[in-house]
Amino acid sequence: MNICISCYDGLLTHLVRMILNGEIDVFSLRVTEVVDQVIEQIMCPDSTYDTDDASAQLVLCATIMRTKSRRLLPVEEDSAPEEDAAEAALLEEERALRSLVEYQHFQTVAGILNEMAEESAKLFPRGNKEVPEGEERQDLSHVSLLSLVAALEKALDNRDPVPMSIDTGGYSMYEGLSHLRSLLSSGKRTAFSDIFPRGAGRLVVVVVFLGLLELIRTGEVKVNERDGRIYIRKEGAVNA
Amino acid sequence: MLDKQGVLEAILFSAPEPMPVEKIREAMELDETEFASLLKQYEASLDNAGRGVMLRTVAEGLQLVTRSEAHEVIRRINAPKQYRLSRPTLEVLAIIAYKQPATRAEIEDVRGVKCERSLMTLLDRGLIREVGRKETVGRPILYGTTDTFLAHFNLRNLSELPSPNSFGL
Repeated sequence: MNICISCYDGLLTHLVRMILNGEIDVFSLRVTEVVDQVIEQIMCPDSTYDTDDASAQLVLCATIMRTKSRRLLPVEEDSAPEEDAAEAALLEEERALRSLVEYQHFQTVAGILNEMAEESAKLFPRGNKEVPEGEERQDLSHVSLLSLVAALEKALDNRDPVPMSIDTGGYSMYEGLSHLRSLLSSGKRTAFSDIFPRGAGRLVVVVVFLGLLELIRTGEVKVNERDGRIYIRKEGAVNA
Repeated sequence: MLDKQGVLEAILFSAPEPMPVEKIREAMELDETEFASLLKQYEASLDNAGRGVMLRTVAEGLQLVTRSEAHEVIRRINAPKQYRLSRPTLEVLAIIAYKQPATRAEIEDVRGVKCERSLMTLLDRGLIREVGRKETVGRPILYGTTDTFLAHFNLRNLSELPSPNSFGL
């Protein structure tokens, strides 16, 4: 992020580094001017800063504010405790400077890694597994989480017979995934209510539901909502 | 009749993922010198014939990949999506790459801000993985890079990362 003030024009990280190094007189610096520019750039409608990046810039602003406020405190030369406090403040500033320098190094490395990734992206191995454009994330905009949860609740209500005996066999995630993969292997569209094995108890319903979430995550299935019902089909299958 | 270069090409063509060098060498029953010489000849033949593929060594494995000059025309037909990492996520990845194994707290100490979301993205992309737990209070998870990381940045191994000395790390 660039900052342009009367005594400096350049990167914010460099400004903080120069302040901590004593190359810029922090007393001649209007902190509000810097902070206003940072906030303006973060809040700008065209801003590319996400939460992480924006907070990193705000931490730099906070470093400037802390440095200036510490240096504004009077130092009484004859007072030993005050000397200790000044020394501690100095040590903290040195630590902040070291952290900042290290952070700047990693920012440089991140830039180099980005260039390396861009060059590497020009090379395609056979059978490139990258997801085609536009399908990186499944479009679940037509299926709300609430509808999925409501559908699960409905399935649980429908399939919750009073247990006559305690089943100690369990039902593994592997079994749930195998059941779903086998059910959807034909490529036909299947209603959410039909994905559970016949006579399935609560445990089986929950495991199959978790299995469905896993298949959605890995992109093996597509989910659509139509006329208030949720349908699932295997990824890549023709609409049926 | 296939010659040794032909066999090597067939092995590489059959594997979309980088294939360990030793595995190929053992399958071809060649000693190290013979295999190194064969690799050199095969690479040269691909270069000299103006072929559209080339040999790359990534994550200590061999792989046939298309030449970078062809990427534009490939994109026109195939449009394979190459994901981009955001700047903060790249910074987190850089810290892990150079400081691995590193805990979340150690990464956050360098960046000064939280990095949960970036870690999730990197784990999701398979660029980093949990490599153990640090024997300290709370036994925090340690993160390290993966072979996918090496492939993503076209690196043979971690020693090919830009030298830390040049950045004073």
